[in-house]
Amino acid sequence: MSAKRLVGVHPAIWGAVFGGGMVLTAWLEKYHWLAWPWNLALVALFSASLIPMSVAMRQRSIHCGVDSAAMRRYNRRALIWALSYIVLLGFALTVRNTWQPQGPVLWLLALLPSLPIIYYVWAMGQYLRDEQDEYLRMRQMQAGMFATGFLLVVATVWGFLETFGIAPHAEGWWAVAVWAIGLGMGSFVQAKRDHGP
Amino acid sequence: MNNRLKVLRAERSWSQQDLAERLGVSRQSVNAIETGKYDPSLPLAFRIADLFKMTIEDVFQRD
Repeated sequence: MSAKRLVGVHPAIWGAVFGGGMVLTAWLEKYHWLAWPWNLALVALFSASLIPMSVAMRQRSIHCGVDSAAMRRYNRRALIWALSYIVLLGFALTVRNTWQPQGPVLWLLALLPSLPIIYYVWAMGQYLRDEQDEYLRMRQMQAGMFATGFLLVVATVWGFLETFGIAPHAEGWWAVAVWAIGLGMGSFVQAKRDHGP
Repeated sequence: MNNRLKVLRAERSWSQQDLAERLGVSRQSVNAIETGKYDPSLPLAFRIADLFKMTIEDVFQRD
């Protein structure tokens, strides 16, 4: 590892700010302490932490010697995904709550927030295609496998808790969020292994 | 698999970053190969051997 000490906030801290903010918003909504459009404003505020998180990730990649052109493109695309998701979700909710459209317009609105997620899935596949460094590609694939296993376990356990009436219903779109958390955990394990004995 | 990457690199006074740039890979890749955490593919092993003007067997040995 480089002798130079890395300064600045760790990307995990920014990630925790984002994740914590989302959980806080959901919790406030659940108990009706926060309603539209203030919930959206709070989501936008916490989503702003994704920008410094992306910058911190780039600095850490360079510092730890895992930087590559493909990884830079992937991080840029991930940031585009996250921000466009917030914008499109906000737009769809605003239109629905203001004009209460029906029929095909409602269908289009409902599908709109899923477009950035489809883009993110494409970006992940594209990274694996673009990455010329076989070790970095292997690391990302292992982290992806870990994330997939994590998602399967969480979905199975939650599904049975829901079936037995213990846990509340979880919407299907949570899958990407759970998978992304698993990817972060897998990447963390990889980084620890790299710097281990 | 064992390898002599660290010794060969030291003989040329190359840092891990120097070797990584010559091979077109990340510094962490060089570190992982050197420390035995990752065995390179055959094409990368050939690139490493070619860079040191050696055969693969001169650079990499069985455990």
